Amino acid sequence: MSDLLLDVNLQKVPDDYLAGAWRVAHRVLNRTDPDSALALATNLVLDGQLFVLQAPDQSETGSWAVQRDELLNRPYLRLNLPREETRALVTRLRRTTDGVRSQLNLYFSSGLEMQLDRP
Amino acid sequence: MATSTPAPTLPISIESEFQFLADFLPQLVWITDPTGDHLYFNQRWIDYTGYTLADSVGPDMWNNLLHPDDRARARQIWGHSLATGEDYEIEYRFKSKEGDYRWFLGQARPRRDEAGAIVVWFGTCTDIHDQKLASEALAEREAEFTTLADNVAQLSWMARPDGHIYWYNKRWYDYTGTDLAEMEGWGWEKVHHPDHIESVVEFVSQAWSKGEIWELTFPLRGQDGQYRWFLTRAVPILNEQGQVVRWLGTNTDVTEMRHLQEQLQNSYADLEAKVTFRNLELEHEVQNLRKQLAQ
Repeated sequence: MSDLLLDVNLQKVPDDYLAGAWRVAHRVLNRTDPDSALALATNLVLDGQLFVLQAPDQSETGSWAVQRDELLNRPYLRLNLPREETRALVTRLRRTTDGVRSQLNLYFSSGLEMQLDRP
Repeated sequence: MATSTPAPTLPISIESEFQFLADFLPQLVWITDPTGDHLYFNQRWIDYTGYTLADSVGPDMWNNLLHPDDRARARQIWGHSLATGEDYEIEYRFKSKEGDYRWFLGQARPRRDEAGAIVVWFGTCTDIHDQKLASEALAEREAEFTTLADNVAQLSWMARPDGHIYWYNKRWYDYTGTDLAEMEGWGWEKVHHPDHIESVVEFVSQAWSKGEIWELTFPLRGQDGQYRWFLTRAVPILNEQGQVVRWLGTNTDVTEMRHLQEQLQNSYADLEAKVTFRNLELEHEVQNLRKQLAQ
């Protein structure tokens, strides 16, 4: 089985490719508040409509949805938490041919950039 | 009444005619007895070496006139001919009376009596100095070319006018893990990607007949089984009539360049998407503010 991650065409990506339990592998804060929940997140779980943000000392639960705009040639995620609502553009999605491993890059409206790995 | 032409007759003195002929020949001419002792040298020998027959008595005199690096080899080969009666042939350097050495091709053949015993050896030394130096210079240039061709960063090859490839450099063999026997002619098709081979063959089939410089980028399989992208450039070598006599080709690995180009294109696309995304976010915020103001 090939372990090679291949780019997924973001114009045709199915929503369920974005779902799952993601581990934060890398992030660039830019001008994001370093104490914010997203800046501290270690795991993001996107399960059905449920969104769970896990950080070392906290866990928040909300909802998520995939959204598209005709001006953008890729989807973005709407993430709702009790104290925060934000959007994140999908800039890259790579996965193995069998879908066992994936890598997701998100660009948040705050400027935060995040690379997520699954598993 | 017809007059008859006298029949040709042999010269009165065969020996004097032979002497004239032997001196006239451009070679050094010599004769030895069956043991190798010299019986005769022509005038060219004397003129070149400065030694007469009287000076040249003894089995080793001629050997002492040879370049020191050639003496043992010449003695061994001449000794073999004397012992076996086989024709003698060797390339060696003889010293001139001026002290310099020139390359000669030495050849000798025995004359035998009716019983098959060797009576004498007839030998010649033909001056091949200029050809030898030209040959050595050519071999040196060829060695330099091979060193250069094998050490350039590219894979390279040479082909006949119809595209039949007859030479690859060492890098080609190192990269593909093949040899000339496998690659000669159209063997290169074996290391092409199945998804690309058809278009490549179609392209080059037309390119060979056009006789113009061409370039094409395609993947080639390495001996590890992985494909890398190569920019191939072929240049025709033309004769004075403008006809293609051969093709010189190079394959430059552009895999990393393609990756960088791809990354750059992706970065631009990402940047464009991010800007659009931020604009949409601003628009979204503006709409929210308008809604709040309206309330």
